[in-house]
Amino acid sequence: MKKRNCKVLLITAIMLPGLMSVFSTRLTIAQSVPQSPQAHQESERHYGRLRINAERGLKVNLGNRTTGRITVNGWDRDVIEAQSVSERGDEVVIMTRGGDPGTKALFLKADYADLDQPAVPTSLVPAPPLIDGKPLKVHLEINLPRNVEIGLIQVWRSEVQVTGMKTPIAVSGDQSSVILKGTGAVAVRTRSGNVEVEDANGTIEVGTTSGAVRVRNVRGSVRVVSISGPIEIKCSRGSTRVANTEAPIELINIDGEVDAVTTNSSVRFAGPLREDGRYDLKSMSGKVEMILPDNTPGFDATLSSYGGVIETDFDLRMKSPVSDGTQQRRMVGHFGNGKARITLDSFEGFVRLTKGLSGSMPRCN
Amino acid sequence: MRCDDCQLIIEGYFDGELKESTALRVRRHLDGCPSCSRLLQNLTAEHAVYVASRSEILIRPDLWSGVRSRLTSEQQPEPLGALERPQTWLSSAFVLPRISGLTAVALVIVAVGMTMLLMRYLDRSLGDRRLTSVSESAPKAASAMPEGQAVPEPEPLVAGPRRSPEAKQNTGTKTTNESIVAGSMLKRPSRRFETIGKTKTPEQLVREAEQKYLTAIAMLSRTVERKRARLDLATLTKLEQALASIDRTIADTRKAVRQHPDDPVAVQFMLTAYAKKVDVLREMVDY
Amino acid sequence: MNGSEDLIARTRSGDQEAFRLVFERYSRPVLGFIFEMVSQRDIAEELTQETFVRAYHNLKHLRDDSKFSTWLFGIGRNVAREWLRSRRRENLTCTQDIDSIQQEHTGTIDSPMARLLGNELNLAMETALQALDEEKRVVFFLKVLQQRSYQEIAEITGFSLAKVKTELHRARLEMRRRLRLYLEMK
Repeated sequence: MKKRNCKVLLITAIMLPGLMSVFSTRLTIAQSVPQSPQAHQESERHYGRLRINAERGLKVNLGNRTTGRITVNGWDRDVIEAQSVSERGDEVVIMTRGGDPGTKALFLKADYADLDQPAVPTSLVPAPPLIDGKPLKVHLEINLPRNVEIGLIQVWRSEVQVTGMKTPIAVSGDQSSVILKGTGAVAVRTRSGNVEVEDANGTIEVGTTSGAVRVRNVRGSVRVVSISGPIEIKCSRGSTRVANTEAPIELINIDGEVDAVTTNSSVRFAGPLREDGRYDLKSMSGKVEMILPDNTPGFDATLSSYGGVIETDFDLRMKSPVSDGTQQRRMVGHFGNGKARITLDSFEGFVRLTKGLSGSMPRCN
Repeated sequence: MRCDDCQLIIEGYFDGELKESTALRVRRHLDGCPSCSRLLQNLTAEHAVYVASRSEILIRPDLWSGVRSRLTSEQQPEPLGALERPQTWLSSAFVLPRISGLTAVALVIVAVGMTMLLMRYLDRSLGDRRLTSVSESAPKAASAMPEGQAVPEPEPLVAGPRRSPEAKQNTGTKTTNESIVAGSMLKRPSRRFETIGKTKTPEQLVREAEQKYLTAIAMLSRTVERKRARLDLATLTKLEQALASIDRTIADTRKAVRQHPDDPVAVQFMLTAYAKKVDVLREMVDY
Repeated sequence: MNGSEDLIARTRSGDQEAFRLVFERYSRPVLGFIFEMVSQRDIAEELTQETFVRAYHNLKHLRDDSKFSTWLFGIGRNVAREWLRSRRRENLTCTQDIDSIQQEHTGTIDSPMARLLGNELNLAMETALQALDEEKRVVFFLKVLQQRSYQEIAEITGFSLAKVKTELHRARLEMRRRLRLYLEMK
């Protein structure tokens, strides 16, 4: 009996700390996850321009009933201005307030005005008006204080344009083209819509199936993945990782580590190197090309192609070419101070490391 | 197999969860049973609708920042007590570092490669080779691949570097040099570059890309097979383990791509796995 | 090499950058899974963060690195269930009934429906999923929408294999019934 009691005591002693940690974790969760009573939601329909005071901590969500454009401009006032327009003129903005007591949310959506009832144009229109047999496009135009948080903008064909918002922007579109200028961090996903990002501060992440991607003048790391949309990154300060399957990659003036890979198409890099930067450009069957200014201080380069051609303009001090006497598959060489590291590789394609006149290299604005 | 029995397990068959022998029996039954085949077709159609009707969830850029700041604030190491310090030091001295199989293989490859290179360096003297440039006005070397045009027949084997016959004197500040062009060893079948993107679906493009890797893998594998005898057993085992691990990754990522052929991230994971396999095989070929 | 197992090994040795890559790889499916359980984006995001923080601190307990994904989803499910239990204790509902989902579709905020612009099938799908009980919904989501194996689902949920198959079959029947207008039956 004594032995059994000891065993029970021992087992309890061992388990007790574990049980306590489980309970304390649950307590932490219960405390850390905000309580969320059912959201209180009020909807209003406004015809013409709408003005709302921007409260602190506000989060704005945007939508569109039609395939019209969504345009957001950041400004320095403390007021939100929303307007819905079409070929017909003013349309309706649906405004819905609500959210948990701790957070404030505002939902703005463009909708059709009932112009058959001029006295009550805000009445709900059951079916979209048609113009030339197609549903009328209604565009949503918003002016927002620059620091207001915008929720995920999810669209299908509506074009999305956001300018001058310092907060992160997330857009999910299918065929929508997305144009973001002067924003904070960016996350965009489209299927065939083109994506353009300019003057952004923060991480840029873009995924597209076949849309073209163009990123310019950004400060932050850039990650772009595509299947068949061409990718151009120009003047980026931050690490750049790009992957594509069947369309070219063009990188110009990248001040950060570079990792670019594609299967069936070309990769091209032009611009100066960071002194201790790393540059990996790779293609399965396409051309891999790097153009550096003729006053490049130096780098260590590994140029390889299993079945293609390797060429370079630079006087490399060869470390160890891999050759079986009949074919040169890899050249490893050293130029100047040898600080930057370059790896250019193509399985079947042409690998080229060339000098460009420093005066003729592309510049950033 | 009777219809009742088939219908009981047809969902398991559709989900790929049956044993091979059972799946074979189901398959045989379906070949001759229109009503059970119809059931399977309905399951397939349903599945397509479910998958197509899901909108993708997007990750906000700052979601990771939240995780990172919590990890940083929660990661305050407690100062070791007087007894704990020598214990910790002793235990760390005797604990083997945990490294994955792939890392181990990568280290083996690097070690083997460096040994080989050192041996070659000691065996023959390497002078500095001056690699010269192609003048801008010179037409491209015969084995270059201008985009959008048919790939020319590969160059015959050449012994060491050779000069491009069409290099020209350059004017201006660029130095005049000739190219050293490495010839191609491969006998590639001629192929046409097809119009990119616009006329093909993403699935077709991805399949073509995959096929490209498979062709390269097949070719490299044949070369590796011929060199197999030169590899010692331990290295061979490690490399085969690495390839097996990569093959598992390829299988998993392929599954994801089949479900989401439009997802560029899934596609890229798969193609990266294939590229890794190509890289490992190339290392083995160069060994 | 950046295979998952390699990243996990590097994370264990303190490489936070490796864990960030793990996060990039798994955050979307985990968020989708948790979102399906709690139905609110903001909450799902917070619970996703909690999931990864817990995973980071408990990596030492993961015995088989190749099972990381299953293990991570198991944590996510526990995190979501804890939150759901805490809300039930306070007598608050979080799963939305069909009427409120449809109401939200006309333009309210912060709901799955508000983001789906007039896509009827998406609405019907989401409605039907939300109408399933939690066990069926989780199993259906993991099998049909995330293509997990029965074994993985059993490990994530703690169900037996037999229960996984039963719940999945029942979920399919219910989804088929609710979506019969949209499914082309031959």
